[in-house]
Amino acid sequence: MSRLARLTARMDQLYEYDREPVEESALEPGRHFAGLFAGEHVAATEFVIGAFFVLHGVALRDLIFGLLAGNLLAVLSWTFVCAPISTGTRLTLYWYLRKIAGPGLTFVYNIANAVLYCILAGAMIAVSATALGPAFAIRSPGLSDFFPTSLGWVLVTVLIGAVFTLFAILGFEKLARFGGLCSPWIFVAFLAGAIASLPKLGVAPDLSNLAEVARSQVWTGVATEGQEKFTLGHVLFFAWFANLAMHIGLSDMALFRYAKHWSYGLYSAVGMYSGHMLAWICSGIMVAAIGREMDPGRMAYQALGVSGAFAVFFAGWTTANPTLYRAGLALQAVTGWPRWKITLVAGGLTTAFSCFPAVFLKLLDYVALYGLVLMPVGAIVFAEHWLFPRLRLPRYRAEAEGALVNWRAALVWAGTLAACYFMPLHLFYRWLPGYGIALAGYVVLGWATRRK
Amino acid sequence: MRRFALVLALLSLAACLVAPVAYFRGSLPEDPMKNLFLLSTVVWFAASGFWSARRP
Repeated sequence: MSRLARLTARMDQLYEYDREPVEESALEPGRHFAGLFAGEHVAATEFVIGAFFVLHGVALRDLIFGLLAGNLLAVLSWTFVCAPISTGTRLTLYWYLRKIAGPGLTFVYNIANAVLYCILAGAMIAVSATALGPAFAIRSPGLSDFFPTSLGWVLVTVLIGAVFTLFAILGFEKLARFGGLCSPWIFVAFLAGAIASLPKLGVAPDLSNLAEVARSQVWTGVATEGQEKFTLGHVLFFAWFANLAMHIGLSDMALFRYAKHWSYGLYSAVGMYSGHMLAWICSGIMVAAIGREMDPGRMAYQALGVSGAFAVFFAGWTTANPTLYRAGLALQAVTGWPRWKITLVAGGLTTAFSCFPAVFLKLLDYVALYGLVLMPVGAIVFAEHWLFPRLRLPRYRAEAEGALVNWRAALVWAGTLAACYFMPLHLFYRWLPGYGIALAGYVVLGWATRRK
Repeated sequence: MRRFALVLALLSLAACLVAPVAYFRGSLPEDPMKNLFLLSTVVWFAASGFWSARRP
């Protein structure tokens, strides 16, 4: 047995409990999905993303229309791409991809996912560090900083990373429960922070000059020095692809396999319009009130005092925790180590990433890359699920042939990423033509290698 | 008792919003607003934690 085969067999054991399709009796009601989406999409990163739109000089009209349309496209992607495949198969992406791409490629997908998760959790820790830093007189890094700016910053991120990792080891379940308590309060903290910032921006108590202040002091249409100017297209595409790996990339199959109907994808609107619209608008107002300085901890502290700093800290903690857990789960298969040990390794890796301010100061680009890297896998699964039967192409050949790797899928994945790399387009726009390339490439390869 | 905790939790969450609204409308100074928000936060976590821990 080759090493890769041994590793994939170990990974199968890890996911053994969800190998079977979800049964009818285990299906969840719609409110369950509404709650999940509402909790998951009001995270620490929202403090950064909304503020970055202000720094990138997004105009008020572009922001509103971009967020309305982009989030609508994200909701439709969940509803018409992810949910129908999930309710049709009742499987996680892991097991469905295994049938399509073979266990070897599924293994590679999991590892890529784990590393990307660690970087994302690193960003959450860094955001939390901006909340704790001022207590030790440590300044947050500047916009152009890539490497750690001071020993104090490194110590704070390492301290927070160690605490997050320790709690993730001690009790993921309890912390997840605590996260459930935090999410409504964090959402309220976003709203409260924005309202408390309005007098500092000169908004009259009767709101008569709200639109004027929003246009002239928050979403001015003028980018901060050194920042690229964003327009409607940037906002629209960002809102659409912010969760690309989850909807188009299909990793939310794990969630929607419990849905009674594919239309439950519409419940994602609860998370999108509360987290990815309202919370982004609120963080934009807060950053404008502190003179457009990218420092989530300081902007929340200025607005709400100690509670604001806690909101940033808890938002980072409660979202880094499941991210650490998922990363640990994916990495566990490589080593076969017990959960505590692999969570420790994932936590160490995440903490190392968090020391680099670039993980949150380049968050928008990272989110784009994260979705882009995993998007071709979604296209491959979509093609095999919907297009192959219509074109009378054989499905699940990797499973039928007992192949460790579906080389057509591997080629399409690598080829799509190479094509995206060389595209003469802004990073935010590359995934869409890339998705078309992946779909077409996989169908053509399937057609060319079919057996009569 | 559990129902009381839920009502208290919801009221404290509402207070978290009322405090900045009152500050914005000029009927509450900044520091008391921040203190009220902090107090409401503590009550939210205590009451919702109690409610959650006794969930069947």
